Amino acid sequence: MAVSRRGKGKSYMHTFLARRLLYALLSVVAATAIVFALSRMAGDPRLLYAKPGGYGVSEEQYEALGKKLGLDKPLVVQYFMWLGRMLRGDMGKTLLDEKPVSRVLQEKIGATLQLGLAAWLFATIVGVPLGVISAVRRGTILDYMARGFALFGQALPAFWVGIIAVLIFAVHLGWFPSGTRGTHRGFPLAWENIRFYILPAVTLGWLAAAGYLRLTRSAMLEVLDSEFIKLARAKGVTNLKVIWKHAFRNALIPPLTFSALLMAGFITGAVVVETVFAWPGLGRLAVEAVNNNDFPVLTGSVLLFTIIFVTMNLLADLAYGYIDPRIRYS
Amino acid sequence: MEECFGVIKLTTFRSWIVVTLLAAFSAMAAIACGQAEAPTATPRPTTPPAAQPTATAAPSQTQPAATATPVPARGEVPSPQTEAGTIKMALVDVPPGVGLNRLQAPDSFHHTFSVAETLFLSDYTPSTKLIQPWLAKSWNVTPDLKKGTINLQQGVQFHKGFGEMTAEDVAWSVNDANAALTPTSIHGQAGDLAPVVGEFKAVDKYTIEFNFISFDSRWEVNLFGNAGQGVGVFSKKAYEEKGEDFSRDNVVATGPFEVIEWVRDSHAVTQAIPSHWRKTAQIKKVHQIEVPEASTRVAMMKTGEVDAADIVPKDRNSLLNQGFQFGGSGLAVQLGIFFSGNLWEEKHAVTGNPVSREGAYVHDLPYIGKPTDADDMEEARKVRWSMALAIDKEAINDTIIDGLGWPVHIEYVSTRNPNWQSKWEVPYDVNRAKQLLGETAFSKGFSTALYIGPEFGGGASFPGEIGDAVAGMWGAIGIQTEVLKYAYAAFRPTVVGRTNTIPWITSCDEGRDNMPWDWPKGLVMTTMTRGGFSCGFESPWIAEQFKKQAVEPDITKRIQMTNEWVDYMYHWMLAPGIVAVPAGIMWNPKSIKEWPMRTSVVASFNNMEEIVPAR
Repeated sequence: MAVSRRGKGKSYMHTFLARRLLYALLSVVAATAIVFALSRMAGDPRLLYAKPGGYGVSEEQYEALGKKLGLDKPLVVQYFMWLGRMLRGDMGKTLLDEKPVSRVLQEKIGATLQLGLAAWLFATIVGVPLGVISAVRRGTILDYMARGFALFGQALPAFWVGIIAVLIFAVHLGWFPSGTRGTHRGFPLAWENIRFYILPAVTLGWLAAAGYLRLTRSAMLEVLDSEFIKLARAKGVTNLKVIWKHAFRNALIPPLTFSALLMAGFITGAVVVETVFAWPGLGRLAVEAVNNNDFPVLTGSVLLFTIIFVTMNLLADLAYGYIDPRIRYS
Repeated sequence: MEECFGVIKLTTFRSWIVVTLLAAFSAMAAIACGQAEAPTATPRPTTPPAAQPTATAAPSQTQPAATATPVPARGEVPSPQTEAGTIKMALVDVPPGVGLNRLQAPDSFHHTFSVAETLFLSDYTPSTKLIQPWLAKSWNVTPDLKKGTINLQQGVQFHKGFGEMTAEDVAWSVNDANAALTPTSIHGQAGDLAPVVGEFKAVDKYTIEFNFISFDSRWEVNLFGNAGQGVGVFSKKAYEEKGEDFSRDNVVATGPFEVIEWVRDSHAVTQAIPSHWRKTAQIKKVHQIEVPEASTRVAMMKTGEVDAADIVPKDRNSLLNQGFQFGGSGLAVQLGIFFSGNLWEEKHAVTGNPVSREGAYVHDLPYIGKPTDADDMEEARKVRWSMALAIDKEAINDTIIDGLGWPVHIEYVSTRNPNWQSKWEVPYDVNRAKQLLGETAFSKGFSTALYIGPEFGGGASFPGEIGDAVAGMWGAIGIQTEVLKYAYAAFRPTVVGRTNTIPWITSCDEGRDNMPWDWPKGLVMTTMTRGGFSCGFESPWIAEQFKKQAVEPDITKRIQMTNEWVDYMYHWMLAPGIVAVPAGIMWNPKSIKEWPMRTSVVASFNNMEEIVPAR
């Protein structure tokens, strides 16, 4: 009987997994179609070649450029040609310097991942414990301070926090550099390298830490109020064990699923922080691609963002389904 | 009462927390802001302006490069954190870098970073000529202006061991950029070269011959000079031996610096060539890092993290007060209003074919005149004049540019040039503006939009503030203006396609205060650039004047022709100016002792090989 239940559980999990994978695939295809269409709505990219001062592009040149860029074919055909190339890993070449888009993205993704990971670590390390403390010490000064931290984190815009952080901690106090990723010489975790990450990671991660804090706090409050916790206390289990072993483990589900989406958000949405701290990542590349109407870079980076987001979303769903049986049986 | 006290207690406690946190953040902000803009009792130093030629005489009709004026240190300049012998620069943008002329990117190598070189050196000092030899040793043009011959310097070596530069390299480099010979060329001058010069041919190892398709008096400076929009010379051998991908990624040129690393939108590193044929640089390496945020660049200067940086006008004076220095190539960008939609040419100025003007005359827009209707032309002229008179240029300069710039009355010509005449001044006169508007059908005002062009970061930077100010001033005479600040890439197709009908703030390619007076003006105000960029309006008179002036070899006559051009622009008020903003770079005197620069109408700084390090 028990084996049969496990088998049924496995079957549910497989269906759940297959359904999620299909949704993920459809999301990627839909996103690419939208992005491709939008990139072409921004105008004919050939007009960008006619630089200031030039006598203009001749008709022959215009046609040749169109053929080179595949613009002489209907939009739908262009889309499927583009999709086919993407599936083969060929993202085309940039308009400005005719370099492979995949290589340009490769040059930038490392910086974005590093910043995202640093911000994620900051948000998790600060947000989750503060959420627990805030719940356990509800109504005390610690709770108010933690909630104040969350309030400011959610209220202050990242560009302002970044600029003020630079002025205070770089210019006034001289503790950290004002920007850039540093030179990455020697041991990767050496202070000389780590110090470049502090201000951007805190600026990027503060809002997320506030979110973590609120999620963890409310989940902890709910769990701490449940019968099994009261039973554990009645049985004489120590407070530390009640909080960290029984309550925290059960309150972990919402922050855990939140963390996967958070990481995706850090990778795709760090434009402001990358700009303030001169961090050469994907966000800035995408913004520059918009400014230059460099649609191969734009579509390539949005496709990458979509894949990252959908993958993280899928992982979050799977983790949620794995941890909470109610999800996979629903 | 107890309840009341209880509430008060709780509220007070919560308030205490909130007030404490608010106070902490306010204090942090106050410290930061106070630090950033600490007022000083000392008078503000004036920015070193581009020095003016004192004589009106030829040969040059341009202004020399601004050199750094030593400013007495009133604050403490930080000790540089960078390595001695290395210069680190925080720039708004590190452009893409490629070693092929058929692509868009290589211009900055010879304009700014001293990596590539051009055939001619264009520089102005009272004792030198405007055009000097560079990679070209000597040159001549036949009296009938049909053929040119260029003799090259000997012994000039390419970077990375690719041997001596020969005529083959130069011919390949120029032909690679020329749209007539390389149809896929998207070099900035692809379309400029095509109608002016034919194929460059190597006659022997050091001699090149070519034919002029249509002589242009600016050919040395504008097409092949470092200060104009010239073509750099790259190694043909590297391209042939290593292939296109290699040449795209590896810049093999002849300048005093070679590229070590170049990552688009991130950073670039160049290294001095030990024994350069022309000038061996005293600094060993230059790191350029892209720092898009203006406040971060200021912070990096104040902490000594960088030795030099692009600094926006509003921050320059505070850094000058602290003892930093500012210098430039004499380039000052003129921002003005361009009244797009006035498409007055019926036929293409070169081909004679009818040109389309759909869109421009669909609506009766106050500032757009119909060339077939004299009354409408006059009414639109009055409206444009009214809008020009309503702009307080001095106020904009004082408040937004922090007094560093100077007013521009007519775009493309400078009030600082010796040829400038006071009769062309457009005063700030609201009453006259109202009166003129009152003489038209728009006496009660009208609504319009104003787009902010891409200069200095466009709408997101101080040009956006200038746009807001202009909109406010137009509001005073009854013109309601919506200021548009979206990405230039979305706007640009409208001026390329001649469909834009709203005024826009720009320098429109040639709005440079130090542009030589005698150069033909207004190419991008004609149908000659159809299929390419334009200011959004077209005039048959400007087209004819440009064609005549371009082939006129006599500089005195060319100056007279420019005067006629300014008369025309003054009368029709198609492009009233606002303000000239000096461009340049700011540096730490503890890192850089001297940085003499050459005149340029393109690059805000150059001549990196002439930097004298302070350590």
